[in-house]
Amino acid sequence: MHAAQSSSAVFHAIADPNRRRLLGLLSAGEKPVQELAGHFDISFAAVSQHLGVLRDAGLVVSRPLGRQRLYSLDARPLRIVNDWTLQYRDFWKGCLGRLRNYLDDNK
Amino acid sequence: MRLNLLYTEDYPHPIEKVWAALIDPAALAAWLMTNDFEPKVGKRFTLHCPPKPGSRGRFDCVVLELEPPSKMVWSWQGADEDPPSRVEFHLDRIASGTRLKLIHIGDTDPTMLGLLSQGWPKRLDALRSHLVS
Repeated sequence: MHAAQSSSAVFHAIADPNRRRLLGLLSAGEKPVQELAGHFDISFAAVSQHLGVLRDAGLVVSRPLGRQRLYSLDARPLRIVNDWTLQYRDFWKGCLGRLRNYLDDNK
Repeated sequence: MRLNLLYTEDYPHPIEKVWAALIDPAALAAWLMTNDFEPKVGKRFTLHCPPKPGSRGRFDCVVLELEPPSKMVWSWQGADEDPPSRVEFHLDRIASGTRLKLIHIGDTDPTMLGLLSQGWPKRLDALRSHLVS
């Protein structure tokens, strides 16, 4: 298991479309890296590198199986993304309340 | 990422007055944040607020569209790692005054939407079975 991750690591990890696609593929279940690489035009090494970024962000875990390495999704750090949207919801509510007061006070 | 916020507010004030509150830096400072905003398309400006955990307290914005007194669009970035999101202000004259629609939309990548909407229990079960296997 990996340590709890910072929001910046998670946002960095999901900012890349290839990495988001990897997460999408893994949401269907555990897969060997060879199979994952088959879905991409980029090199095997590049796919491994993207998986490394996802692993560092705590979004995927891997385990060896024979000569293969199997990857699976751990979506828990994505909670941060959800919290982020909730923060904005409260933020704009506060702003709009102040805007209303501002308009009412400056007749 | 998955940000899709819409607010509708009606004000008993003329549209010009509400518009002024959106584009006047002093007004923005009163209801939004301290800023170096200028109402010019292409203007890069920064909003500042006290930093707190999870926020650096700075938002980098660009004026993308400006159509007085009815529409203004900003790009909005709260962290270097975030993809820029989009903030839209729409004003309409209504019988009782002015209607403001505020829209804040982020990247709505279908993969992310799927992952987020599938819910946690399923994913956590998958993880648990993986860990005990």
